[in-house]
Amino acid sequence: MKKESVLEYIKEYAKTKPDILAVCELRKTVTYKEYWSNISKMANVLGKMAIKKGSHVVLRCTQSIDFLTIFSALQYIGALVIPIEKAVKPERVIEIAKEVDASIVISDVKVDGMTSFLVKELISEMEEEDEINLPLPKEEEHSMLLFTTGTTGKSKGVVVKHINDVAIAENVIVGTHMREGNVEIIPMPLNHAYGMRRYQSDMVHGGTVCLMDGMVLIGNLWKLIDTYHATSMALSPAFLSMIFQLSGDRIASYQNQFDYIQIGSAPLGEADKKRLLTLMPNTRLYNFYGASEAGCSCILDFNSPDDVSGCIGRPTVNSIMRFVDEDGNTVMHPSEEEPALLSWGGKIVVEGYYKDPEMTKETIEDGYVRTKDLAYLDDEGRCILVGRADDIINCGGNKISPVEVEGCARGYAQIMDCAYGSQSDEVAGEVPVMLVVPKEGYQESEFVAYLTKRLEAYKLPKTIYYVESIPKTFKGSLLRKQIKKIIESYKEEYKNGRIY
Amino acid sequence: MEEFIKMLKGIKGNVDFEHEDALVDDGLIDSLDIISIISEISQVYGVTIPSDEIISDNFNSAKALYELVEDLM
Repeated sequence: MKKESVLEYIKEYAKTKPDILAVCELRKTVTYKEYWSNISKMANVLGKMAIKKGSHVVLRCTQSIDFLTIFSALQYIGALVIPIEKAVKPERVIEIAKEVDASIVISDVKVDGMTSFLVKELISEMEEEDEINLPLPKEEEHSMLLFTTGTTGKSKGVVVKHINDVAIAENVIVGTHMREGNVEIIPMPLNHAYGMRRYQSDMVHGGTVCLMDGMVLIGNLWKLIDTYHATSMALSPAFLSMIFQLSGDRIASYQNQFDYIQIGSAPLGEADKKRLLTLMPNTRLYNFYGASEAGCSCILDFNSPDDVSGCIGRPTVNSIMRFVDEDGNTVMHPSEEEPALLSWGGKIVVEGYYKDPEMTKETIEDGYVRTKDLAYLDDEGRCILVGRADDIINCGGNKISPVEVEGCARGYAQIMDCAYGSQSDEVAGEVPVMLVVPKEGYQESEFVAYLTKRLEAYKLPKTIYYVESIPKTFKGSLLRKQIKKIIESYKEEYKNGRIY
Repeated sequence: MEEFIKMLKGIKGNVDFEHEDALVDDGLIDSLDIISIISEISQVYGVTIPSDEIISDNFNSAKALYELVEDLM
C-alpha cells in the first residue's frame, strides 16, 4: 500500500524485512530494523534538546549513516531540516541559518554564535536512549528545505513536501525498472537533490544504499561493490569520468553484476557514454532529466532507440509534461522549427522557494514548474531538448542551439570537453565560437572536418579557443555566463583568433 | 621519506605531513589534492597507483603512502 512519506516506508520495512540491509558504509551497516530503531531513538534525543515540530534545523551533510539517521529523526519529529554541504565554512553556515530562520545547527564541529550539537555526541546519546513513538508525517507536510545554488549563482531554498519525495522516488523506481533487492552505490552528496532522491528511491523500494564519499578514493568503490554485491550505481558524468581516469576499464569486470547505472545532474559526454555501453553491454544505462523543483521528470534509456541527439527521453510515471510560450500559454504542438518552453506538473512539483513568493510565482504557475528549456516532441513521442531559451544564439537570423553543437562536438574522440557560445562581430553582429579542451593527439583541421561533415555551415564555430577546463557547476552544468566572459576575454587577447 | 614529504608539501604546503595520520578522514586533503598526489607520484617515481589501492587508509598519512609507493616500485 502506498505510504505518505519515505519514513513510513522505512518503518514498514523494519517490520516486513527487518534483517535486510538498509544503509551501508564500508565498515558500518544498519538493517531496516536497526535503522528505524535508531531513527526513533534519535528523535527522542533531539526532542529532549528542545527540537520540536516546526523547528528549523541546519544539518551539515556527511556521507554517512549517522547523517541519514539524524536527518530522518528530524523529519520524524516534524522539524524542517535544511541539509547543507559539509565543506561550508562556519560563517556561511550562520548566513544560511539566518536565511532559513534556523537557530540550531547539527554538525561535526561547533559553530560559534548558534545553538549547535555535535553529531558524535548525538550518536553516543542515541545508543543509550529509548525509542519513541510519534505520529508519522503526512504527505502535505514539509519534508526538507533543499538549499541549492543554481547556474545563476543565486542561492535558493526549495521547500519540499513528503508527497514530492515519494512521487520522485517512484519516478526513479519505475523508470529504472528497479528490481527487488536492489543494492545501489551512491557517491553523490546527500545534501543535493540527486543523491538524496536516489537514497529515498531505494528506501521506498526496500533496497539497500551503499554510501561513498565522492569518487576519488576509487578503491572504496570496488570494496563496496564486492562486499555488498551492488547491483546499481547513481553517478554524475564527472564521477564516471573519474572512474575511467583512475581505473581504466576496470568497471567492465562487473558487467554481469550491475543491473543499471543511472546518470544525472548534467548531460553525459558522448565518448564516456559509448565507452560505458561498450564495456557493460548487459547493464542498463539511464539519464534522468529534472530539477530540485520537479525531480526526475524525464528519463532516457541509453540502450534504446530513444538515444538520439538532444533527446531527454520520456516523462516519468508521476510527471506531467506541458509546453508553454513565454507568456505561459499552452503550446499544443511544438516542433523542431518552433520549439516551446518545457514545464512540469504532477506530485513532483515542490511547494516553492522559502520566503520568496516572487520567485515562486515566476517559476511555479498553476502547479507547473516553468523551465527555460526549449523543446519539442518528435514523431516518436520523444522529448527533444533544443537548448535554454536564454542560451540560444542568433547569428544572422539563424537560431543555433549550443546543446546540439556541443553534443555533436563531444562525439569527436580527441576532445575532452567543449562549450559553444558566441562573440560580437563587427560584420555579422554575432558569430559562433567554441571553447575546446583538447586531448593528446587533437588536430584542429581534423576536428573542423568532423564538425563540417555533421553540421550546417552556419553552426560551425568561426573561432576555436583552447582552454584547460570548461567552467561548470558542482553538478556539471555549464556556467554559460562565465563561458561568455572567457570568450570575450579571449577575443580581446587574440584579436585575430584562430579563424580558419 | 624527506624528499617524499617535500613533494607532498609542494602540493599542499599548509598541511603537517610529518605528523598527521588522518589526512583524508579529517578532511585535510580533498579530492583534487589526492588526484594531484597520484599524478605527482606517477611523474616523480614512475609508479601508477592501482585503483584498488586508492583508499583512505593509504592516503591518511605520508608514511602509509610512502610505504605503498615503495611496495609498488
